[in-house]
Amino acid sequence: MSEAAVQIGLVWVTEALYVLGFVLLVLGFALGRDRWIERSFAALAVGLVPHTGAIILRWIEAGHAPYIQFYEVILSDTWFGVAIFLLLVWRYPRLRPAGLVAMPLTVILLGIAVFSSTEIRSLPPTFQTYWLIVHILFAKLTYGSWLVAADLGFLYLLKERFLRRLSGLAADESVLAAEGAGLSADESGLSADESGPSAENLTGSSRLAKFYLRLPQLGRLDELSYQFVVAGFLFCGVMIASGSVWANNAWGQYWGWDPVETWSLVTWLVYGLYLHLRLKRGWWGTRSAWYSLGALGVALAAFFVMPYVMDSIHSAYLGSSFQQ
Amino acid sequence: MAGERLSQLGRRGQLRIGLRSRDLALGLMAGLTLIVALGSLLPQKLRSDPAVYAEWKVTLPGLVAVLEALGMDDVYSSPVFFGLTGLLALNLGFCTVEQVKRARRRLVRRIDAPRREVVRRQPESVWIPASGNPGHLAGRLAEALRKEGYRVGRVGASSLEARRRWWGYLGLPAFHVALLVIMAGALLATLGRSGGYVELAEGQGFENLPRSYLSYASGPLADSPEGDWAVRLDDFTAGFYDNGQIQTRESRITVFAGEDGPGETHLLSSSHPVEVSGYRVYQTANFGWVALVRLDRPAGQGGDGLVFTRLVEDPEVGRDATGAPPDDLDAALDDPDAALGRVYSARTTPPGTSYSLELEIREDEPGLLVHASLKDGQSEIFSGVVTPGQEVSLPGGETLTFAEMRQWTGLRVTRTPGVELVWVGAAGALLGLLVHYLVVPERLVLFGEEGGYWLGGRRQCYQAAFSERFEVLAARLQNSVETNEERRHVV
Repeated sequence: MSEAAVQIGLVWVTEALYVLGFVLLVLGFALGRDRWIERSFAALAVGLVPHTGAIILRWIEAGHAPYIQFYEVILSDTWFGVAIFLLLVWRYPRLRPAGLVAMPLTVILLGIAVFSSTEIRSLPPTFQTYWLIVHILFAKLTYGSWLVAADLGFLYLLKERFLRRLSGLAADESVLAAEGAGLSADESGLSADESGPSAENLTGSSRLAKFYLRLPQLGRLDELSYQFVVAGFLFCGVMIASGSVWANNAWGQYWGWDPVETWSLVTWLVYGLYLHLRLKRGWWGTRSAWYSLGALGVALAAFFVMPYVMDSIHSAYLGSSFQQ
Repeated sequence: MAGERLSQLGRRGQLRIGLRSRDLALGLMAGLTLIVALGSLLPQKLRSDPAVYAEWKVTLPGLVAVLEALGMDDVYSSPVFFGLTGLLALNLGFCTVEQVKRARRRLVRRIDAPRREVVRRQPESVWIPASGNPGHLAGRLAEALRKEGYRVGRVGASSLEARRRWWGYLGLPAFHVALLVIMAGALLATLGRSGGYVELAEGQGFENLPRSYLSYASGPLADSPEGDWAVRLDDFTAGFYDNGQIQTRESRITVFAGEDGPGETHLLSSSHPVEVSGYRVYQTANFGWVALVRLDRPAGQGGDGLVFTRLVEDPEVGRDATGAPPDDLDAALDDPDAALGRVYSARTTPPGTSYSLELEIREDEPGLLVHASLKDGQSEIFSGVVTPGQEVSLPGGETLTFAEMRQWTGLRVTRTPGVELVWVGAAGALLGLLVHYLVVPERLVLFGEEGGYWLGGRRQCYQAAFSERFEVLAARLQNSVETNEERRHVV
């Protein structure tokens, strides 16, 4: 069996394990089985092994790190995504429900990658520099961080909506505000203590309530999302700076208004606006969560759409034209 | 009331307040984001494909006319872009001064008496019951806080204020100062940048003078190069992968400093430029070969001398043995016996002649394939392979001598002042952001009352995470004020 066939086989094994993990996670939350949830993360962690193997084989076969061609980009992006997500869940076990967004996204992306062209493209001379590795590494960290931030924002919106429905609109503005500011020590209004009736009594849906109870407080979710936005903002700055050094070494100019370069700046400014709105205009909570979802849309468009629709030196990573 | 105060400030004061407004900052950032994005979406005269731009002009004449009138046909050089960036820099400057002042105030602010009502109002404030001498209790609490890494100040007999990671307040001002430095560096680079592009065959050279370059551009503040150094291309090699893609480009160049300066040899390759007297020389493209051809006219008509004719790579690599393109290129490419070496070709019309020359060389095959035909393109007057040093007599009496083949390549030379400032700024911005992100100032206050202490506290951000830590801290402080006797009692 050829190396390429083994590599594709490993990707399929990875995909199967990730699908298994996702199914276990959904069933675990739906049926309230904690062990299934734990096993779903175990499946994800085990899946990382063949995923790593596929990347190593591809690296050997191509003679360069996997960052050219759509297939390679997605293969390595999803690896980073899963690794960062597992670290996050290991550090904050209450963020496990975030897997309901992260896992299907990984499964879909990997599925698309495995059906795309696996043709190997050689590195042009301008790509043979360490700056490229720094640039790409930070690009992956940037998008990984923003993806997690949006994921957390999405969970915030779900939980906030649940709490709103649970508590009634007018009566519990204060509860939501307290939750949002992260000031309450417990799950305000949800625990069966003096602070309010239990979620089960109010909704009649204990599983759903349990699912939301597993999530961190709204305020903590909001802060974690913000932390990942800041981390992404920082990584994006390094990505732009390292790309600029690389461009100068390769083409003699630091900044050339290449479409993807331009849209990286646009994305950085969009997230810069997020930080200003949050710190100076008090845009936290719901507005902040919606913003992080919208900003992720801009970031993804910059990375995945611009190289397709416009001539760019970055088109190479999606397998379109090469500018050497 | 506020309006009255504003009117008392006078115009300069109002302007200052307007320029440091956060709303202005948000508006400018949003505007700049939009303009930067538009630059890649709208038709751009210099950046777009000329054909695409011409098509836009036909299909959307109104829009293009408006864009041209506003200078937005080159957004990144437009007055709107520079205006917004300049205003943002001003706004950033004023805001940064404010931030630095605020950070300074916070850093040097003396520990002050905590306000009882503020501490009590905070939902997470904790009551720590304690009995005993207030002075001793405060001492024990202060000691416990110091162990947690806080700087503690005593206010009055029984109240305390504790701070930790106070220098985290420097993060955001440092980030914004660094952004200003980056902007200053970028402005300097834009105004003072100069550079040119030159194409050379092996053995050829150029002086660092604007006229030596094929194209040369400079900013309004750029010094004009004075030709105090020169470069000669000694040797160029291009390496290819098995699949035919370019792998490496490497030039050996000799740099001569001054008129009679000694030559210094450097190796130049893609992504690895060479520094020469404040300029950087870059290896850019590789094109192919130069055929050194001498064309001599019949006696009395003068000679054209040595002509450097550039041959560029022909994409139709599957030409057949006669030099003619195959009818079916795909089939030729699939044929293992077909000659599929790289083919470089050029078409030239020697001045003063009535014919044109088609020159072609094939990789790994010596000699130059020459087709000479009358300008009408129909009548061929010569066709054959000419080896180096060989002479060919053409029907008009001219003699064509093929001297040799050499490679040719493109080099770029640039000088970008201010770039060091940009890097210092980038490092500062990174550091400032890291400090802001990782070093979060915390403030605790302990307010003594009859029978115990109120513990209150705030953190600059991540308040929810702080609330979790707050409970642990309160328990530790509680522990520190319990006497041994009380502890025994609890047990």
